[in-house]
Amino acid sequence: MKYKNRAYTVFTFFNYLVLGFLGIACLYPFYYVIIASISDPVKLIAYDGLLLTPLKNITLAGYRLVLSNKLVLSGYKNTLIILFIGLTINLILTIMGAYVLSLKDLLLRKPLTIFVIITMYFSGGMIPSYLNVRDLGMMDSLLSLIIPEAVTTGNLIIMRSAFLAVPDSLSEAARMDGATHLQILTKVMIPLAKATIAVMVLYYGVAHWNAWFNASIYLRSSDKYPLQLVLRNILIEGQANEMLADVGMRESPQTLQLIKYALIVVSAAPIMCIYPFLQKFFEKGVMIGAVKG
Amino acid sequence: MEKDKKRVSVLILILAMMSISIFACGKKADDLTSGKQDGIQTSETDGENKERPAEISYPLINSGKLTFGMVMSSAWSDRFNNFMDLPLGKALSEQTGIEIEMVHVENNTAMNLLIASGNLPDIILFNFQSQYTGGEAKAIDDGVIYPLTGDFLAENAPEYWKVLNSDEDYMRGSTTPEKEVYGFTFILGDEELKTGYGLTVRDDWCKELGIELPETPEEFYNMLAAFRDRKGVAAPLSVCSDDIESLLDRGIITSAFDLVTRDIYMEDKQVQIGYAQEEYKDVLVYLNKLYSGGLLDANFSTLDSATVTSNILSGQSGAASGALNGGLGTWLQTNKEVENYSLAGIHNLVKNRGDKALYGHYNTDVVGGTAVITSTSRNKELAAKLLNFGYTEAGHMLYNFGVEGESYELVNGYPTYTDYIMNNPGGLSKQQAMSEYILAFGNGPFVQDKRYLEQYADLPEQKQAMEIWMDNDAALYKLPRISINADSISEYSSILSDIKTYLDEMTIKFIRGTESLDNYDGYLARLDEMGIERIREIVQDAVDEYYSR
Amino acid sequence: MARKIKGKAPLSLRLQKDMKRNYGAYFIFLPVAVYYILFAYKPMYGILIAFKDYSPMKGVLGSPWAQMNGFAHFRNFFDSFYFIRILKNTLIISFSTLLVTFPAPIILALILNEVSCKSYKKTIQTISYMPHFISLVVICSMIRLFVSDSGFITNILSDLGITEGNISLLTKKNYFVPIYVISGLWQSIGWNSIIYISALSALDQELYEAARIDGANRWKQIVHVTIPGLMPTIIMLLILRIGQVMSVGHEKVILLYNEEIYEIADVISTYVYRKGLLEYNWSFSTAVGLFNSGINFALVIMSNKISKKTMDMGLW
Repeated sequence: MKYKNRAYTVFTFFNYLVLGFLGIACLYPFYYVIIASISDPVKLIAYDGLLLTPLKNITLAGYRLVLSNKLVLSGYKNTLIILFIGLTINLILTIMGAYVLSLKDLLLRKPLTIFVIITMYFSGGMIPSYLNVRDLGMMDSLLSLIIPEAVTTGNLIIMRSAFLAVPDSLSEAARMDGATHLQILTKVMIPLAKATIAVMVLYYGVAHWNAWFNASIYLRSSDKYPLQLVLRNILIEGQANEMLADVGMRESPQTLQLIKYALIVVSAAPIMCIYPFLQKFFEKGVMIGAVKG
Repeated sequence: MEKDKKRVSVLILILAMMSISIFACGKKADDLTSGKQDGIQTSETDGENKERPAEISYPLINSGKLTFGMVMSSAWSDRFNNFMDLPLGKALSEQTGIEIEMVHVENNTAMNLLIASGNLPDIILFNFQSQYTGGEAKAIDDGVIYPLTGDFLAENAPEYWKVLNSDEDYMRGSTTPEKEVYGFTFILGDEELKTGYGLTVRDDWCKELGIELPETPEEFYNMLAAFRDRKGVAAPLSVCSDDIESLLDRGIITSAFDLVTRDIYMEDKQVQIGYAQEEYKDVLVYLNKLYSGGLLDANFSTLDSATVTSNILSGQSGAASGALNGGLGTWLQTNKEVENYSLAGIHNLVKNRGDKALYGHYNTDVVGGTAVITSTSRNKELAAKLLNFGYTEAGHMLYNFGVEGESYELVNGYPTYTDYIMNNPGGLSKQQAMSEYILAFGNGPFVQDKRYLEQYADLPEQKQAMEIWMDNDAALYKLPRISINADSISEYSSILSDIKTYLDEMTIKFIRGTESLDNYDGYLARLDEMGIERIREIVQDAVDEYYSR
Repeated sequence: MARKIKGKAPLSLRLQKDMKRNYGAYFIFLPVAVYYILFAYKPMYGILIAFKDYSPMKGVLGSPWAQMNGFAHFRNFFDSFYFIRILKNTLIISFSTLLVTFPAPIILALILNEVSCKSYKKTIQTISYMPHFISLVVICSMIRLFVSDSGFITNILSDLGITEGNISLLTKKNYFVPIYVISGLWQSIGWNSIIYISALSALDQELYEAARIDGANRWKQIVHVTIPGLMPTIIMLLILRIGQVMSVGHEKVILLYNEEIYEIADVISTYVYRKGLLEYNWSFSTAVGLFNSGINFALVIMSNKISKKTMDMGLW
């Protein structure tokens, strides 16, 4: 262990410090939001500097207002509907498409692959896509958030790589036994690509969870808004009149701030609790994604 | 004396109404519907008799069903899901005999999306002029609005047609350059209804500090400075960027600097553009002075109206701008329990005390939202009949006062709002309570009645402010309700949207001082480059065309 | 075997055979093909409206062609005062983001690689992924709260004398790009380091062994073994990123900007959004969007060519 000289010790110490700082920088904003959401809103506005503990008097008013808001609740419901139906469609289509593009003896494999990949680099753009959804009669329907997002080409390619990695001998043996493509796909390929399918669930799931923009242009009834759009309207546009109706106009700006912090916690908490357990999946997913090139 | 006069006219009105209901064969629309109560009608009624249009008797029987697109009003959307659940919606359906299915959207953007979707309801109530790019004429050109001919209206909406024919400006304001009526318009039935916006200050502070209510920029500045220094107020004038736009475009503070308004206006029918004039610089210099002196809220560009309201209510600022009801009225009512709190409207700023202001908030006769029949409607005649109802006297009473016995009572012939409206037992504000029964608090296809405002804005402070704010010559300069020629619309809207973006941006920067006012000439030159002269020409053409109608 | 047929038989014959053999596969692909045609290729036909004066009620085909042989909207855009500005803003935002957020995850991966305490490494990694999992709306609203007039970042910066007074930093044009870039760094540094960390773990341990025998210290090992080992990954990702230099996404900018800082924050995609979906200049907006995707497409092809030439690997 000669190489562990003194300079290296300093370097190591420095490393740990930098990493520790990075950890704090990633964590503190969330911590701040949590304690701000229960702090006295008037004192919070006046407070100067880094906040370490909640400011007295501790209040749960923000949470009360947020959790009794019908849009927040219906937003959660809509997002779950989109997640569930959307994911099902995503998986079916992505797996089917990826399987076919992974068939080495398919004559049209190359043209079909190009057919798919071109769309990664060239698209109609925002307005034609909007008009397309309109022409298909999906305006103001949750379908407009599900169907147009049914396949993400990048994910399809990742899935295809996973199928390509399955040894040819397995599928060939199945073919010899007279299995159809559908049987090979369901009986041989899918069980072997489970890990990548989990990655797909994660990727598509995160995309559905985060989406708000399309909802803002396709939906016009607020009871269909997904959570993120409700959040956008309240957090960014400050549309919270309903929640503030009982508060009185004098207190409204402070309370609005409190509502915002509480809402951030309410909407981010589920994901923050889940993601550490999914870590091994997405680490794997990134690697698969990297190999695709 | 004036009260007596009013009473007499009201009496006559009632007699007129009674006579109509007794002699059911008679005319349905009298001048009540045109809203001009001052000159009572008699002479006119006779004159029109010969070409009396076909009569529509409500309720219609087995008429069918219509779809109606409308932006939900926040005044009731927290308590009701559908307009047809409101007492107003029920009464409308009952009185007209038409089944109505509402297509509600959340806001103006959503309405534009609905229109762009091509799935149009039979009727759309929307402010096409300000919210639809290119206005009504463009909407007709785009195939959204079904333009109405005189014959069509005479047959299917006789009362509305009569109202339009009763006043030159009503007719001009409701028609396109192609001489077609674009929809059923909202008409302001009285001069007073056209005004009602200005600066509001803490009257009690002024008294305490011995300051006379300011009229000139100096006095206003000094008052704000006194608020800052002697009352210790952090942001003496609390305005958000929309408010600043209003102060400038409605000419509330521009007169003192020889600028009529920042907006487009006309002088002897010659179109002028305020923000492209040298004088606008002086206004900006003044605002910059307020800003750098710490008198204008430092965060004005990101402030929301809730914060402004809170500031003025909690004494964190001593001046704000606002409307007669939405501002002054609401603020006073919210703080009516608070001791030592009074507000007063102040005169639009002028050069010398006592001067009349050049400009102020002033609406055209025809304004706001318009109910249009869409080109895809399969039942245009029935839609016209439904919308015509608002201009009959029954419809006039419904839209302005609601349901008799519930939202109003006739007291000596004067439709007086009940306690449900004026002093709601459930704690609703006047506006919220009104929204369940009437349309007059907003706009719609009818003639607004002055008596609505008389009761809505009934506080003495409001009456006083109204008088002060009305002391201006806006009627001389205000552009009529023009429509841009269909050929120029896309050019006009594309130039104007670029210019507006630039103007808003530069105005904020000049006020903040992040852009030096020495660069004002550069700003003017850039406006030239962007095609400001072309805008002036197009608007001038539209004005010329308007007066040739 | 059938699939060994080389290019000798006529295409139609081979196709016939393939269809017979693989009809099941084509059948499986059918819904996917329908999806692509309907949602990827059909909107491409909608690009036509960039050359027309589109009106929703008349439809794409029914709308009249724009002036100047259909190029009026492009011409208007190039002549517009905003053309240079949004082009410049797009490039500034894009390059500053690239400059900061591209090297950072590499450095993080290198540092993490030097950490011998497994649990510390794991914890920091997990924490650093966190911002990636928070939705953009929430991230942006947090930013807005933190840099608002009473936000804690505003307070700290003004206490340190870096900014003056308590004014929302998003109203000052000088702060927009730093806020955009630093928050982008915060969002992505952990997540983007994953790929480098996995590349590092795939490096041949024997190389290190050899270096050690040669007497290289830890620092020299980093320079001579680790970094060269990472190079292919770095270059591949860099080329991918350069292909996207002209596409700054609209969502984050829309959530952060306001009219006071349009001068610096308005980019091509947000301009397309405002013109098209807020002002309903469908055709003009599509023309601007088409201009942008044209450049993007060219950039991708270019970077692909370069990568093929220099490293013999490409995207297709």
